[in-house]
Amino acid sequence: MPEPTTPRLGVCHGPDGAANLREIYVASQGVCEVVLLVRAAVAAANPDIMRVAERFFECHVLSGGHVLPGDGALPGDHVAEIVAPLGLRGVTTFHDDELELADALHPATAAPTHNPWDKLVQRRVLGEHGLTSVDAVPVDAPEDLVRGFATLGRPCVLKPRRAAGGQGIAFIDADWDVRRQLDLRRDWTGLMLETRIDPAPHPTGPPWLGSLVSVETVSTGAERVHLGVLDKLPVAVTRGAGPGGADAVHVQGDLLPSGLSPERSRAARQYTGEILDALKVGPRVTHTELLLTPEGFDVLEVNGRLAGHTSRLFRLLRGPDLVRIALQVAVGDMPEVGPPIAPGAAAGVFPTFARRRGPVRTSLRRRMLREIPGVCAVDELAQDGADKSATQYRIANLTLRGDDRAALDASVGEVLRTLSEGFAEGGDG
Amino acid sequence: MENRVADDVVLAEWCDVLDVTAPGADDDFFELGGNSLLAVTLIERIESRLGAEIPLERFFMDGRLGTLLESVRTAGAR
Repeated sequence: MPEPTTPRLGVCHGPDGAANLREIYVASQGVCEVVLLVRAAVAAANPDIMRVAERFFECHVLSGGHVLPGDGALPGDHVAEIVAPLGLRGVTTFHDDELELADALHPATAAPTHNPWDKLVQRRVLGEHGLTSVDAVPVDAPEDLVRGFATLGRPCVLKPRRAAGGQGIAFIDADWDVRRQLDLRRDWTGLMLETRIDPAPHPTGPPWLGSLVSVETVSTGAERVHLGVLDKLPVAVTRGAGPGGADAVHVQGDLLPSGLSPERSRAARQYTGEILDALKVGPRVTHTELLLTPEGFDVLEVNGRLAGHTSRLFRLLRGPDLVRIALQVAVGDMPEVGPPIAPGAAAGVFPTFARRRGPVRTSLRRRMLREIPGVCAVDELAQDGADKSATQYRIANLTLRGDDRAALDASVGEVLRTLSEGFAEGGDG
Repeated sequence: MENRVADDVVLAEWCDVLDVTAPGADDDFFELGGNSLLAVTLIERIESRLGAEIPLERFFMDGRLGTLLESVRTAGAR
């Protein structure tokens, strides 16, 4: 009898995804042989990553006339030429920019009837199912914005249909904001305008907690398992600070598990399941962001890959390995969902500068932050004298753990206070 | 080369790459903020200073300082 072979899995890779090379390598052991697929432009821009990648994985740079989704062309027969000789059982990604490419390259994926990662499609489908109260219209030209804002008639958000990381977003509250976009924005392709909902404050958390939660879900062919509900720090918005008339929008942290009551947490899972069903999301790990509203929840967006940083929080609580689960479902195996997270709580905290101009002014050192009870790791700390853009305007990036949510909240509060005081003299307080 | 000298090199590079002091044997490089690129930097620095070949795969699988020290000793630093 022939030896069973390990399935080969393509992973469309890029920098700053939700899983790094080491996490993918470790998670793939005993699950699959990972074959990295990297766009030529990504490989050229990240030689260090490629150097490491080639030590661990079979790597293929996608170039030489292949027409790739996201390169300004529709996927066609060309993409099949890429994977056919590689003998891949599946293709997945941990990077938002590569979702369409991974879907197109997946040998078992039928041509989709809609792109579930297009946020305008999400609004349309979820609206049809009565799962969102947000109205949205496409914007592909300046006049679409003028017409759309007049039609929707409420505070809105102008944003790309396909982008992550808060890029290209602009809050539109009044005609003045519309005129500003007409003056400053240059790229009008692939945008949407949607109404903004007034959030409700988090019912159980401290005042620094944001009015949103996320739900991490693994979908198999047969069922959806919600692996956890996380609280969030508020999204930071600096009006007009982004390129081309956009606002600068940054997420600032996650806390696992959520402090919502069991009933509300259950309602968040139930709602997320209905959203994923409506969007016909197939086997994969998803990250769904929900806004807390006076009525309950409304969906912000659904991402077709696990969230950055959250797999680390699950690991800290000895929960399931989300990267391994993502690889397992991508090759068609049943994921190892257990065990549930251990008692305790964990957080990733990465607050941004309130003012983006000027150099960093601080005497804080990483080791000073590490001395705060509950701090496990300081991945990043803005350095005195450096330009704030060097850390993408993040003050720091820390990971914390507590025996319970109360202990974790105390640690997060102390970290935020220390950072606020430690950077106050830099013109940022 | 004596184990003590090799240990000192590993500890010094570990502390420098992660910006930590007084690490413990159970400290995990990747839980302390290390990533894939930093791991390669650390291993290459140690290899360069000690002339030992450190299995990066093993370090990826187990990022604890104690395990790295053991790997370096096993590798037979010159």
